[in-house]
Amino acid sequence: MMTKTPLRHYFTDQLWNNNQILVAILGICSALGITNRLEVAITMGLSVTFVVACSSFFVSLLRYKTPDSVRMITQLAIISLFVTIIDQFLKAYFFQLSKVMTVFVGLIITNCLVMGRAEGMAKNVKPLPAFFDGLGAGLGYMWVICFVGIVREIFGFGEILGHRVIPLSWYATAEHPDAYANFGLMVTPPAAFFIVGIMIWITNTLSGKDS
Amino acid sequence: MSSIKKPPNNSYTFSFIVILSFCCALILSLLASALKEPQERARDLDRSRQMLQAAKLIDPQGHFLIDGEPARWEDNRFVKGTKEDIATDNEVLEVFKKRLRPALVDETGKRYTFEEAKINPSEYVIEHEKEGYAYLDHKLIYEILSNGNNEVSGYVIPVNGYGLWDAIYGYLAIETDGNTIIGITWYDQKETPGVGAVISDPAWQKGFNGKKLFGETSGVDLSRVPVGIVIVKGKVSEVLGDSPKAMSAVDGIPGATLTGNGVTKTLKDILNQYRPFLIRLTKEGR
Amino acid sequence: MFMGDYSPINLLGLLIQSIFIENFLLSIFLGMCTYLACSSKLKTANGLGAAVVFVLTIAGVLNWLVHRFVTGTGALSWLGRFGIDTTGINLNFLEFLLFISVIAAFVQVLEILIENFSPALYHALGSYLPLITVNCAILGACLFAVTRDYPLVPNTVYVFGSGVGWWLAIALIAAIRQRLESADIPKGLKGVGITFIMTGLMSMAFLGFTGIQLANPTANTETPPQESIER
Repeated sequence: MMTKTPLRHYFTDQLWNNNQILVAILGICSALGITNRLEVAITMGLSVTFVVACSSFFVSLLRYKTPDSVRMITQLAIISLFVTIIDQFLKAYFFQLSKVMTVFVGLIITNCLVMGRAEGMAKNVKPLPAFFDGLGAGLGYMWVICFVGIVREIFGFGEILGHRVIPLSWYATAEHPDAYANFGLMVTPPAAFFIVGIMIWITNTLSGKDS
Repeated sequence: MSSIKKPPNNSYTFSFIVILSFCCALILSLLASALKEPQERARDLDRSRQMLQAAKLIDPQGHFLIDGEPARWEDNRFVKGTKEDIATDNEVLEVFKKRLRPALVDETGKRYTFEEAKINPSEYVIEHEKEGYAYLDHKLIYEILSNGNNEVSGYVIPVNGYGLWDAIYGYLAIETDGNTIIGITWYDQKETPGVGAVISDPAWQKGFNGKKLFGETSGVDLSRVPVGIVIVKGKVSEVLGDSPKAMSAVDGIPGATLTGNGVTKTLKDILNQYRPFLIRLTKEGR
Repeated sequence: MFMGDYSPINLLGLLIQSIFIENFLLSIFLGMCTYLACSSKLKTANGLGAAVVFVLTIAGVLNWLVHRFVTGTGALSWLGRFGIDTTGINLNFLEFLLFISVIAAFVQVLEILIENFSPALYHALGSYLPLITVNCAILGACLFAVTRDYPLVPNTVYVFGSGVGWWLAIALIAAIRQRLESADIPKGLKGVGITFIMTGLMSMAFLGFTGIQLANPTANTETPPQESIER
């Protein structure tokens, strides 16, 4: 007889111990291309959370009815459904953001994180635990990319959410050419790689694991 | 643990997939039709705002403008207002319809209406949006109508070309002399954020105000003169000083030389297509 | 519809652009997951890469057809021949669903074909095929291609080049990872951590390709009358 895992464990486990980006190394693709501003990272994080929580719920709901040969296609169909919902919603009410995110919203479909949770957890457990697992996975993903987004926005632009954080008076001018300047590399994609690599290093060291 | 399941037969699998697909498609269709209007509105709102901004009828903070001063939309005209009067979305759409009138010009520079050409304006605008209007036989233009009457006080030319990464789309507003720029906005671009994407920043776009497309126009044969604005590398004051070319040049964006070159080329190519129309304006001033 | 405004030299430019300049893995970062989770051998990478090129090229063309005749704006006009009025019907919201279905179906069919025609090839490649369905790069390349509205031939060149670029990047990463295994790396960084940092350095190198614009259509632009007058 299995001991029942309390519902909240499904949620909290995903936030740190089994964080999808830092530990399971899934969900990186869209994370890197889209984190140079915090606003975009938050939108992406929320969208992914919505998709993975809802699709995990429905995959779990249908788990006994789904024939094994079409399991993957069913999961993909359910995931695409929710991704399209989010995409249509963004286009209607957050037009500027949807222009920035363009195809990256669609790419949530192939985001390994979502499929990973569906294959790894949702098809094996009841709907409610699956939902919480998905919620945790999404939020775990979100805090990592938001952290990357904050670092990149502060050092790359000197702003957070579009509001200036590093005072303009610190910047180099013609008179003081050696004063502060924005760290241009942070605006480019490689910076995301470096930041996530270092975050993995820190989490591995903290949890005493080695890869 | 449950007993080993027998694999379902083919017809079950088939009907499962059919029902699943049907349900997904149904949900999406319902959602799409429910959201269709807000989506179109969001698009139109964005376009309208951008064009009004280029024509200096609204500022980036959302105030309507009369000669640069905050205004309010009342009784189909702008009246003096205060900084607290922020334009609502509905007002923006209304003002767009009332003060920007789509029209067409042909390659001889003659201006005519959509009715005269027997073309449906909204279909035409949407159909050629992606490739742009400059190379078509009927080139799209918008007439800026004055406050309170239907006098034409300027024109907006849709411009499009390539930046560094991908296509860029914008609106260029000019005075009736066919030479002086009122303003410019770039409403669609995928340039590098913080670098090339600065072309969408109102602070940089301000550099275009008052610049001249042709430079000096009196006594010059305009059919042989370069037309457009050059984005220089660095500051215009340092690169061109007091030279007359400075009237047709704008400061570059640090680190975004290539995007700037794309903007220069875009303006040159598009305005060359509208050249006959612009020359007519410089002669007639209308 | 087939070539649009693209001349043959533009196609070459498009090929170079999609392989090096807009490399799907190192510039746009799609397709990392499936690879990172696998081993770090060069052989695996080559197998995966070849499979991706094949699937991406064909799926890219199929999805172009879907976009052109079903989900793009004004795509249903061919139904007009049968007297069905389709103005005002926009099936754009079905695009994601259809694209991923086409990819999944194609991969499934491919797997069955390979299994039946070449068991040896199936054993070599078989485990990668399901992974490819969910490879972000495949769906991503198809979506990027239709957003840019390429005509058919440039679209094919673009998706083919994207696949080749992805293969190139994966092979490079695998080769370096194989070497890294014998290097002295801090405990916490071993494995995935150092791979990320290494990939970051590689993508910085690829940033050097920025700005080479070979692929813009030039076949039909008119040269303005006084091109030679320089400022």
